[in-house]
Amino acid sequence: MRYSYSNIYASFVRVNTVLGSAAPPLTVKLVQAFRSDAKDSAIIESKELQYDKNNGIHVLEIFPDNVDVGTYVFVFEIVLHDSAGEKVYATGGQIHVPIYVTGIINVRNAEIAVLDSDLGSVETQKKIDLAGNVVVELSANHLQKLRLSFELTTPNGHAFKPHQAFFKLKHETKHEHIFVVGNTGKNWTGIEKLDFLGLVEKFYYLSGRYDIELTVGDAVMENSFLLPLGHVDLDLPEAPEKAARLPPLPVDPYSRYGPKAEIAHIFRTPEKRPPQNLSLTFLSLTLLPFIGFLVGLLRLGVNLKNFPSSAVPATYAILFQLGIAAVLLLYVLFWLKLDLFTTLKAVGFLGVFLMFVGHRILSYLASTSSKLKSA
Amino acid sequence: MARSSSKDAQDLFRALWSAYAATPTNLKIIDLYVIFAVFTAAIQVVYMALVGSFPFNSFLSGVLSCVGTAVLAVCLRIQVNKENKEFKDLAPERAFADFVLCNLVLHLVIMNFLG
Repeated sequence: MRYSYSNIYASFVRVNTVLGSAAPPLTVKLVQAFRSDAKDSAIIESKELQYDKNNGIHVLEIFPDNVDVGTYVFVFEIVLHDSAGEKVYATGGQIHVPIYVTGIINVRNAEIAVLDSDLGSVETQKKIDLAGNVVVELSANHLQKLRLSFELTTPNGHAFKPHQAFFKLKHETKHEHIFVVGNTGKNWTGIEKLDFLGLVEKFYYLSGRYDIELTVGDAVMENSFLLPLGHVDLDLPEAPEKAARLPPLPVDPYSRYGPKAEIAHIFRTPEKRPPQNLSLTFLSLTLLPFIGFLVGLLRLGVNLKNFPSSAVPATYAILFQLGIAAVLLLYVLFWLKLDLFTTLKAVGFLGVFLMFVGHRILSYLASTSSKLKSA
Repeated sequence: MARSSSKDAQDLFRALWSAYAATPTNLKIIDLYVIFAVFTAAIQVVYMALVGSFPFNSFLSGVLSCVGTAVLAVCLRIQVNKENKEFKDLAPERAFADFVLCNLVLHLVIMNFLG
């Protein structure tokens, strides 16, 4: 539950049963209300809430003036009017409700200054209006200090300690350094003093332009802000040899869920082909030995007299030749478009067929030739 | 001197040719096949020397196809030759079946490599 300081509302409580139906007649008592960080200091104690019959709500009409912005815990208790109802309903005892009282925090006396280290004297000092757009141009070297100070007050005029107050210096190379404002002493002060002499190593001797950013935020602060304040030109000494190397920039942890960089495949670019005529000439040249082979066969007087004349072996012989032709044709198809798997499957079937047919015809030929020999 | 040596060479070749004429016809066919394959390979090598070896796998598969089949043919010739007592028990048909099978396997690989 939130209670805004800037817009005063009466706080109210609505009571119903677990199942959402209307509750029996009862009284809501505010047993206690205290700051969540100081349990002893109760701001309200044992107060009955007024029942608004029209709206069916219990209203806390008077909100105490001494409530400042912050987080509070209100402890409610429910008292049933009808004592018989206690056997029917369980009220749940004391109910702790966290309440955020929010408000606009005033920022005052904001200024940023460069101090000389040894004397503490102010070199340059600039007032900044944190409400508007401020651009501060500063320059400093490693012997100087940077001081940022501001005051935060609640609407009641009390000092306010924000939950988060960060001062960020960001180099051009995206290396950034974050300082928590005012965590030096026990009491929070809106003062951040950076002694560059001690920070030289932390800054990795990185001279140049640093952007300044101030973040002040709190759950109860209605005007939390993140403001770029300008930049400071830092003149740091040269890095010694053994100085720590600049660490790599932190990688955004979400970037590994993002799309990866596209992989560019490098293919071998085709080299210049020879003129087509030359290639075709050599294609015909490769045919020449084949023609020579055929001519040679003719000159040797090769014939097909040994081809089986009876029907069955002749069929096997033709099938054998056709099978070999089919396998070779399949190879050509494999070269042109098929992949290895389909080709191997087809070769398997054709191979079995070829084996059977080939065995038949060749054993027939062998038997005839051996008969011829023995005869 | 030169004339006599060329005459000697002619005599030598004639003697060789007459000796070769006695080889059986089936061996001659195989020889012809080997010559055909080797010449085809040689022409491809000449082509490669002329235009460069850009689709190198294509060149290799072409030449190796010829050389491989020539080698297989030589093996077939060894097994078929009746002079070789070593393969006396091996039927020439069986040798031819081996030759066909090996050629089919060889050309499957060649086609795969051809790209």
